[in-house]
Amino acid sequence: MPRISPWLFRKANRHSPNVAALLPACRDLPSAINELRWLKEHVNGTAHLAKGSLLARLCKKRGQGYPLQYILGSQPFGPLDIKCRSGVLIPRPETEAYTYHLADLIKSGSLKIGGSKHDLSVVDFCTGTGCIPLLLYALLYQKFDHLNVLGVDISTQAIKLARGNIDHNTRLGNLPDLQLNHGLDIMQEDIFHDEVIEKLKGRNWDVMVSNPPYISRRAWNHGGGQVGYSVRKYEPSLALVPRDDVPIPVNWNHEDIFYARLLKIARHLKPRAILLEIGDKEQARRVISQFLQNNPSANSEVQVWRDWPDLASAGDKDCLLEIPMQDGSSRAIPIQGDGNIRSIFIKLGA
Amino acid sequence: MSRSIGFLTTLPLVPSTRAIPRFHSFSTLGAALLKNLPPRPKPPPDSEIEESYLKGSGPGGQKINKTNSAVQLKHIPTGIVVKSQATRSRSQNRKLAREILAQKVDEFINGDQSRSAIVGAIKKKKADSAAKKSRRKYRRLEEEEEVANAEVAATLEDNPDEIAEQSSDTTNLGRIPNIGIHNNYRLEPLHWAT
Repeated sequence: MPRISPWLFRKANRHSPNVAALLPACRDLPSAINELRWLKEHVNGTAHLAKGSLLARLCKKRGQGYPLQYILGSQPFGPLDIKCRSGVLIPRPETEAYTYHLADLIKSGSLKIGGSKHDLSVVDFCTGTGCIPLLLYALLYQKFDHLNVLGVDISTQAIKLARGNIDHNTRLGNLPDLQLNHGLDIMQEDIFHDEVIEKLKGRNWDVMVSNPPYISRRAWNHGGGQVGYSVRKYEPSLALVPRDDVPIPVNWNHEDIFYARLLKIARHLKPRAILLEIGDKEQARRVISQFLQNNPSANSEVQVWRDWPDLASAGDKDCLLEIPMQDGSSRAIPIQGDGNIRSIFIKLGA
Repeated sequence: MSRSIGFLTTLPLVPSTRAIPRFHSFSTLGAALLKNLPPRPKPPPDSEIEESYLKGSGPGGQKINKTNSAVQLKHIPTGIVVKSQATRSRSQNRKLAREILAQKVDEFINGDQSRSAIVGAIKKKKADSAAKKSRRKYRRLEEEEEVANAEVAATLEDNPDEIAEQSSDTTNLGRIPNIGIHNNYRLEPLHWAT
């Protein structure tokens, strides 16, 4: 990371010492001023007596890389207010963008999802704060007679927070009060245990979503300009780096083991659509290649979405991703949206 | 945006269209004008908007925790560019940016007849009138003081012009007590509005 020049610190100091304190984490003046504004609002909302010194302390903490969302205790996510606690991954704006896009696709009816037209079941693995199932529920509950959304996570902290987020957003009126025809649940399970498949198999699942850990051990340990300092230092590696205690399937990389597992679960649950967040173009290539090799039947459609899938592609970005196959041939997968390659969307035939 | 936020922050959060009657109940000026305001301009259709997020190069997703969700919109037909980073919410910023863009496009197309120009003109009129009244009030107070001082000092050698002006002013303010009270009420909301 390039160092921040002294003149920028001087300029920040002229604004206020708090802006200068925020600069190392924010990197530029407008962001630092913005974050100071949000921190001020937060401090003014507390019952603290020495507000000035509290603000200075928080600015220093933030400047050292502690995530703003952990200090403020929340992150807006669409119409929701998602509570954030140390130990659970903070929802990212890209996740918000593809979740919206998925909800729009489902609403438009172009997926032809669901056995009968007015029922929908969605399962989200590695749910963390519960941001994805909560947002899908908030966006879709009026559209369906029976909507079931389930979030699954291994972490006790995440489960507690996700359930807390349901209550919190129901209280705020962002989610409707409990309705008999709908379901929004959070379940604690280790998806590498086969019981989870047995438990879920009895029900019909239309859509499967997941934002699993996908950062390689190497990038996590060495950073190397790949993983942000604040993320490495303060966010839980459990949510970011695949664990080491499960065997790596043949022909898979360690950082991709969750995708191997999720595609296996999908073969049992038989959803009509799968949406997986991925780290970069190469990971997308590897995962799609594995999927195509294991599902050679032609009645599936694979798409790659960028960070902002509902925006038009700006500039000269590729609109096709070449996937090398084991037999030496290659397949071209369409890419849509703007930004970096962010997720894989698979439509499966009946 | 700033046109409404000024006084909205002092009132409960209600849409400003509902806040307006409350606002002008303090005054008699411009009531008719406020009723005939053009409607809030609608944001241009998405097909005319080019949207972009401030995104650093390099990785995103889990690897980076961004707090900046600024949204930038470009209105293609006019080339107007607006940006919103008011909130931490991407969707809220998208909405705000569209509202700001709608206002800018309205100003660009309708000029003096745009909603913001008309609102601005009404506000200016009110502020001018308030300033005028306050000038009048303080001039009167000053003059009254002067008169009192003059009486105490019993030096009534002032030139006749000023006395004439003074007396004409006092006749103008025949309903002094009333106007004085009105002035006090009116000054407060006008402070919020500016």
